[in-house]
Amino acid sequence: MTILRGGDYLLLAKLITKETIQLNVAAMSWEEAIKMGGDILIRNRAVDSAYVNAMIKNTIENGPYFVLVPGIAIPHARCDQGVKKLGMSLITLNKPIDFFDSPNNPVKIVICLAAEDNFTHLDILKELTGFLSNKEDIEAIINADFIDQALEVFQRY
Amino acid sequence: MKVVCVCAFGLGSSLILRMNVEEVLKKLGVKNVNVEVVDIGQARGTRPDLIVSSHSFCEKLADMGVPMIEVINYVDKNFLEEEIKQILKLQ
Repeated sequence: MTILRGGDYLLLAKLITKETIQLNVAAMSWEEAIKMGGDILIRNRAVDSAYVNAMIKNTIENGPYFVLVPGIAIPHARCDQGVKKLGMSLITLNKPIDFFDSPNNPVKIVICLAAEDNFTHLDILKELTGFLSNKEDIEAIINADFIDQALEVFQRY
Repeated sequence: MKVVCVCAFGLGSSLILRMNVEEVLKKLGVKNVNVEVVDIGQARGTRPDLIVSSHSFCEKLADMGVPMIEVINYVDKNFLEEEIKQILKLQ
């Protein structure tokens, strides 16, 4: 699969910013990790607290299906469960955490996603899929010590 | 042929699955196939020929008796391709 470098992450670059990213976060459980990612979404007015609870409930009810590739969890809930506007947060964990028995454990990156409806964020998902398929970019995020290093991954032109 | 990608809400992981399934089907030259996205609640109302999803949803839908592809890595298109090739040969 050819990966275009320039303009790859046009939308992700807008959603993942210094306001929505936190590195080497200390979380003791998957629940805490989702809460931390969710709190970023709340602070950025993308969701209200009901949405964060919904993400946690979703995990308990449906299992850790959203740990889509080794090491990366993409928690989310339904648009009508507290989404105010499209938003994403990204946290890296200083200690990897297991999300139940996911075959893609342990998780190092948690990307919380708030979508307004089923269609508007399809382009975001395309870019996200590109990121999930790019081992170099994933490593760069995991190894980033400073926010600028992580942001660079999404803002390369 | 109807392929259904299932997840909890039909707006996240199943959309990624659909993208990849459609790419693989196109690469394999499979025609006359429709790939839909549904949440776990709607899945039983469909009459698919193939279900693509992750373990917990496949488990819940196992009694439908429909061939399934249980996905672990959502961006591993090689795995999808191999599974789809296998399943289509059986049909």
